[in-house]
Parts: sequence; C-alpha cells; structure tokens
Amino acid sequence: MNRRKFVSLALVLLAPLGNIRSQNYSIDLFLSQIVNPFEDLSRMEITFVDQWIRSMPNISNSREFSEYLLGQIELDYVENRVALIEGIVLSETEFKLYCASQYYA
Amino acid sequence: MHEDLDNIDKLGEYDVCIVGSGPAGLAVASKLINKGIKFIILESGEVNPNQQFRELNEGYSIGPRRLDLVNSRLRCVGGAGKLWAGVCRPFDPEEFDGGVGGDFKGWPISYGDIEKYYKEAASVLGISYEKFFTEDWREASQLAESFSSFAGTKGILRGVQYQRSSSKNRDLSNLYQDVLFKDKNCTFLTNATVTNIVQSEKDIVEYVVIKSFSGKEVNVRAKTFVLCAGAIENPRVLLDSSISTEIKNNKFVGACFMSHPAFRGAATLTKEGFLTKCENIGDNLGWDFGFEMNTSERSKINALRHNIHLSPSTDVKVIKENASTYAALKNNIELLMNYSNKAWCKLVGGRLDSKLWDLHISVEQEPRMSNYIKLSKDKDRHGRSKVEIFWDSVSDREMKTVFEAAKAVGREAMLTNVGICRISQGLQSKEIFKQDDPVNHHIGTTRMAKCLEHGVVDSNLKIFGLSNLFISGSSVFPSSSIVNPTYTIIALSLRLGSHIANQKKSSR
Repeated sequence: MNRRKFVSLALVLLAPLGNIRSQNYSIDLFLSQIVNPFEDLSRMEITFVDQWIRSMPNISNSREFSEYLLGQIELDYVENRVALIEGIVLSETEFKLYCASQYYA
Repeated sequence: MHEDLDNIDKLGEYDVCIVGSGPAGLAVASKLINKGIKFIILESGEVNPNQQFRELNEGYSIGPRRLDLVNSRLRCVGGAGKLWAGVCRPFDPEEFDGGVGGDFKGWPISYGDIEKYYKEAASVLGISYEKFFTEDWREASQLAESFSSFAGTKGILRGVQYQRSSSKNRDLSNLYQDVLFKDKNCTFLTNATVTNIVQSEKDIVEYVVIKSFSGKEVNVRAKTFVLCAGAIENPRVLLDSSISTEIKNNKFVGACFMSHPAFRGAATLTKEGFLTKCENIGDNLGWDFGFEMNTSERSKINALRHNIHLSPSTDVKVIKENASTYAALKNNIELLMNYSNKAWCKLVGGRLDSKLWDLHISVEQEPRMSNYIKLSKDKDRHGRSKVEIFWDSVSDREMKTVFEAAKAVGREAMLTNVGICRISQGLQSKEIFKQDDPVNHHIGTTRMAKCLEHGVVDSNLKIFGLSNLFISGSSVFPSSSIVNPTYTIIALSLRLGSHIANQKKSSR
C-alpha cells in the first residue's frame, strides 16, 4: 500500500495527527480532534476504550504513531476485521478510534 | 436420417436412444458417430423453434422465488443451446475434490476425470482451454483494466476470466445437425416427446413411449437409453414413468434444485480522484470478466462461490423533498460528475473509466432438499403430469456470501487505494434478496453421487437401480458452482458419449 496515497477514510481519520505534529503530541489530543462522520456509530463502554488506548504502544512521535495506526488499519482490512457502518466498510481500528473520539470530543 | 414422428409408423431396435437434442444430447450423440452404433435421437420439438411447443413447458412455480418455466427452455434441435449466451468457464478443480457442505456429498469424480473433456468441449465451442488459466486478465477488457490494481499479491480478490463461444459455435446443432441427419446409423426423430419410460421386470428399461404433438404414439426400443432433457424434464420424466417405485422414491429425484441468484446494485464503488478519465482500451466493457474472493478467503469465512461484476453506475440518487438546491446538488454531485465525464469522453472519442461503479453479485446455491420439483395434478396435452417447482428463499449462507463479497470489494478498494465501497440500502435491508432470478440456470435435480444414499446417478451417470439408463446435463451436478453450466454439461456429455461408445465396442 502506498501510504502517501492512502486516500481512504483512514486518512480523514488521521488528518488531525498532521495538525498536531508541531505541538506536544498526546493520544488524548489526537482523539479530541477526530470528527466522527458516522451518525449511528454506537458508543463502546468507556472501560473498553480506556483498556484499548492503554494497550497501544508508547510512541511519542506523531508521525510514527500515524504509521502504526495505518499499519493496524491495513492489517484489519487484510484479516477481515471489518464491520459495516452505515453501509461503509470500516476497519476495527477505525471503528474504535471513532468510538473513542466521542469521549474526548 | 431425419424424420418427423407424424411420418413414421414403426421403428426398429437401436443400440442407443438419446432423449433430447440440446447441448447434452448432441454432445453424447457426437461420440457415437462412425462407431458402428445404431442410435436414435428423440427431440420433443421440431428442427427450428415453433411457438406451439411452448405449452409443453408449462408448469407451476410455487415457491417464494419464481422461475419462468416456459421461456427459459426451448424445444427444438439444439435446445437451450439456442438461448445460451455462450459464456464459458470450467468449474475449479477444488470443487470436484471437496464436499459441498451440510449433509450433501460432493462430486464422485475428480477434476482429472473431466479435464480431457473440458479440453475437447473447448475445441467444440471454439474457445481456448489454456486461456482460462493464464493471468493476463488485467488487459482483457475495459472492466479488467479499470480495476487492474485489484487481486495483487496482498489481495483478497482474484480476477476470473470467462470466454464467450461465438453465436455459431455455441449452438451445437450448427456443428452436428447435418452430420447426424445424413448418418446412416442415426435416426433423428423430431416432434417426438417421451411420455413414459417402461421398465421390464429386471433392472432394465425396455422401451420408451413417444408421442407427436398431434398425439401419434410409437414405442422406441433400445439397449441403452440416455436422458438429456434438462434439469426440469429429467426428473419429470422419471417421476411420471413406469419404472420401479424404488427409483421414483429416491428422495433426490427432483430435489436439490439450484440456480445462480443474481443481485444487481448490491453496492456502489466510488473511485478516488476528482476527475475520471477516458481510456481507449477496446469496445467491450467486459461482462465476461468478474472478481471473486480467493479460495483462502472463502474457506476462512465459509462462503460459497460467487461472481462480482462492476458496471458504470446509472443510478439516480434520491433527492429528499424540501431539500435545498445545495443539498440536492451535493447529493448528486458524483452522479453529475459521472455524466459530465461520460459526455466529455464521448466528445473526445474515448471510453469512460467511471467514477461511480455499481456492484452486481451472483452466488452459488447450496443443494437443499427444500428446493424441489414434483408432479402436479394437472396434465398436459399428452396426459403427462405438469411440474411444480418450489424454489425457496435465499439461504443464510447464500446471503452471507453476498454481504462478504461486497465487503471484500470494500476491503480490496481500500488496500489498493482505488476508492470507497458503500453497501446499497437494498442489501443492508435485505430487500435485494427478494429479486426474482434473471438467470435461467437449472441445476441439480438428479444429482451424481458415489452411492444411492446420496444421489440418483453414479460416476458414469448411470441411474442407480437400472442397468441401461443414463442421464446427462446440469441435472446431475451435485454442486452448482458459479460458472455458467453449459460448458460443463458438454464436457460431461462428451465423457458419457465416450463411455457408452467404449461399452458398445467391448460388448461386441
């Protein structure tokens, strides 16, 4: 996959990471800037969201974090960890990020 | 020699009697020519299609899914070969080697048993057997070109190349009719509908009763009989004949009817990029090309075989009442872009690589006892029972396969940076599964099996319980695959023709 050309929902999702590169990066800041385009996305349990965020590797660099997430998203698509949200095929990582963003918005 | 039954009073005895002169009957007959075998072919219709014979096709489609029993079949020399679009592809080798799931066993023959005849059938149909297995599909059509980034090494999909037999080659009567009419060992009888198969006290068929449209009745005696009347008529004739009740009570006679349900507009794929482009890459969009989840993906999720076809979208999005002009424009912006680019491409003489593509998915059907053909109480002009066919709703596994196929296109489009796939409302709500079948493939009603407990005919297509009655055609398929059945019908029938010719040779 050519990541510079990965013009999918994933890139829309990761756009905030580009904006916060110059600032002190944090996952909370990243999640708070995601705009969720799905009206019917069900919210996950906050404890599940916390658990999932805590399980992420400790990456302090926003570019590396972006690469990490893209890798996870790609793996989801390859391994069929996808769901249909409002008719769109969405990877598990994307789904979780959108859900998590609702607690930080 | 060719004759109309109305001009015949008595017939001699034959080595082989073939019932039906469609692709199966003619392919069997082709293997008996010049072998010193005296054979007769019985065709219910006339040499050319005649409207009056359509009434013999009448029956009742009583299930939730409807079939057109009258127009999907043709009684004349060449039969359904005259209706067929000529699209060919062999079954995949693994379809012969494995079971088809559930309580049903798979094919009792291997791909190796039929490969030789696939090659021979390709030659008959004027196509290349080898071409099915080349990987050069990416330039095969505009469709393949437009999605050439699909099915790469990391891909989930594979490209499936079909071939189309020409209108001249696909109708086997063009190839064999004159030869058979002139053959001194062949009697080609038209206007001769089989109304009864009569069994002697032993396990042999003694003769069949035939009737002309006007009601003239004659018996035909032969040492070997081959039923090649199609997947609706084959079980009908068996169930309505004077053969042992053991055979008629075989639960698989008439059961496991299958077709290829096709669902148009299952999803829409929006290709990335603001502008679409014109590509001058040939005249054919490529209905002879499709995608499918690869074998590994299918087995992971227990999906059936399927075909995914894409075509430039012609759908108009619904504009809600009271919507603002801006909203209306926004809702239709992609479609407007599509139309403007179509106009542009027409102006410059190129072909459009559309921004919006509709996904159409057809799916293999599982064999199910609940899809069946049985005899109605109503009779036709010959006093034969008409058929009732019950074709049940799409099964959960068939539905799941359609969903997974649409999802797979979405996944592939993301992985290859092609665009975004949106599942249609019709598929999300499952309304799409109520569509009637536009594909007239009739399969599976006298299935082939290793033993009587799992089917009607054995690996040589001889019916269990009778020593001299064979059946050929798509009715013997234990699984329906997703490919058009006629190519496999011809291959199986060539194999049966060879088997019978060899049997006759060794019995002399």
